[in-house]
Amino acid sequence: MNRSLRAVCIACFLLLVLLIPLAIPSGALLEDHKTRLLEEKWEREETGSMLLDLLFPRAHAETLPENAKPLPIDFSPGYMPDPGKYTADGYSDDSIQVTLETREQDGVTWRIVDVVITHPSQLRTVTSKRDARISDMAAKQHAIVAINGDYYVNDPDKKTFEYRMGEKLRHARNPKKDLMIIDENADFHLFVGGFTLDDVKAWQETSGHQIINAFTFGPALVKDGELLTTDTKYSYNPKGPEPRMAIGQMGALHYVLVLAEGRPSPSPGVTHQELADFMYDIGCWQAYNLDGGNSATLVFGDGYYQTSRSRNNERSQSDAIYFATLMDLGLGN
Amino acid sequence: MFEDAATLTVWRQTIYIYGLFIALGLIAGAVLLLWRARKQPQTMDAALLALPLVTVMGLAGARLLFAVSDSTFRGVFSLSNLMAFHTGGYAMYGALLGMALGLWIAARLTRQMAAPLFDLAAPSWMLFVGFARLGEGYTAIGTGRPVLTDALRNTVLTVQDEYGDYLRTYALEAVVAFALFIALLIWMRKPRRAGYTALIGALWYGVTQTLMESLRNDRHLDFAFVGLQHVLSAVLFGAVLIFAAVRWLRAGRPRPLGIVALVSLPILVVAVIALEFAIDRTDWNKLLCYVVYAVLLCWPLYITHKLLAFEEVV
Repeated sequence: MNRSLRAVCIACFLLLVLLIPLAIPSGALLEDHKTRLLEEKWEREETGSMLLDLLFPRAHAETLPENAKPLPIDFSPGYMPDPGKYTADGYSDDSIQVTLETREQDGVTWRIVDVVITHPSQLRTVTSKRDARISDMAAKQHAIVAINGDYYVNDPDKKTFEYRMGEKLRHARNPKKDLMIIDENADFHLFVGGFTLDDVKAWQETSGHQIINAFTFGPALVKDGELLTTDTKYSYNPKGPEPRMAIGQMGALHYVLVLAEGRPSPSPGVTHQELADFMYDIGCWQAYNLDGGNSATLVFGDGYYQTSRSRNNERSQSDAIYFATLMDLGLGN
Repeated sequence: MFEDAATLTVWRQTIYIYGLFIALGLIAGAVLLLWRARKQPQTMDAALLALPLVTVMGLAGARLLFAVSDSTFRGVFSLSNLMAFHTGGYAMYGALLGMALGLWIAARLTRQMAAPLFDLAAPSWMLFVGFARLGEGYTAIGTGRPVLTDALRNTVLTVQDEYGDYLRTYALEAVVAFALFIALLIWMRKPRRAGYTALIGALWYGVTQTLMESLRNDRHLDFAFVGLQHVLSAVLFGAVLIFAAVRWLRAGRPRPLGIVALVSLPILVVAVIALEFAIDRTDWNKLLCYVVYAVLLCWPLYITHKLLAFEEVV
């Protein structure tokens, strides 16, 4: 190789090296470009589909207790709960009643948390940019009670429809999974047997409701008061006994969080259908299965309401569902 | 730990600190390569030609592997999206594969044997990885799970986020890469069979990176609970082990050792998967789990070195 060719090689290398700091920002996709790619993908998947506007809840007409303030529909934390109002059986103040119950049924330990709130903004969700423990998210958000969500970042295909606190996170259709939407009144709406974005759009147009939270995990367990027969081919071992987490709506602003304990607890866990039967039996109007297995985490106050759960074995996840008080005691939020 | 990517502004020009570390790694690796090739004009030619080739192909490989394996690109994979280098999105194994291809092409074009060039470049490879990992400290990736032990909180090993203290895995990876760089330089003080230094470098990197990828929890190229680069690390050391065992058996050496090596590989994989489950799902002491993990990973190191020993010295 002659000298000039050698010089060209070095010059090319140096030029490339000089350009790299100007062009290479990170090993990961930058967030705004990731969002742009996902938007492009969603648009391609649903030809002519809409881009849903970010919607905000309408003013709520219900009368709130004195000193109660509705919480904003965003990721800000709730008001700090009053430590004196925690008991072994739950938590109660003028804006929220949380009742804990444990049932042993056919060897299965069921943890049931009944929650009655006075304003839809008390049913809240939170996400974390990096996986975090549900207990840490609960503490930061001043949750009275919190559970895991659907761990949506763990879905490799990203073919899910996810909203959290009015913010669109994912916007893909899914032909197999059931969808749960929580509207501005904190009412649950279930789409069973897969869904398209047109289905969601049609529902919005006919019902006039807004999407505050949406989860693609499932299966749906109870819909409009009717017990559903779960699909035995639905994902995550539907016929096998596993720890399961479900959320149900009993009526307006009345909810139930149910954990069927399983490994590593001595309780064996349940199948999807057993969970559906249980949710129906306790009187759910709507009920939906969330992420289970070792993701199933139920936090009450600053502890867990489940056996065999500790900070050592708690899985870090992307999102949580929680309930907060409306009572501003001046303790901060 | 940054939301996206940290930058500097110099003369109104935005400079990505991650890119700066990549550039530093390339320069350091290039200087080392040229210095080590200085005594042989033929090798020097190959090394000089390799510099731009390795840089271009490394970047292209890193981008391509990321784009084909990250689900964000699925359905919107296009040349324009692929070429949008400024948007971020690179895979280390793609970079290393691209670099290897660049070296091989440089060797072919200068009519050189590729193996000695790979040996010569092996320490530069580790040096580059070390700098690249340090650069990850200025991006949103490279961290581990939130740590449990108070002893690690507010130390140089962790970085604070709103939900706790996260392990600076990228820093550990950088330390390991620099340690491997020094170890390779020491290894090369003895004359070795052509290609064996690169092979040993791949083995060491694959083994150590398997452990490091387990410590990572940054959703970078993850498929549910499985990290692509974690799998590729295991594939890398597994491939070297299989190569060594096959060479051993083909050379007519005592069969039991070769067979034990081959049989132990799937057992090791099962044990590692079991440990991953234990780390995720039990309340066993995490530090102890990782000590066991590290001990387990000593086996492929030991057995591969033993298999290669009979022919590694010239």
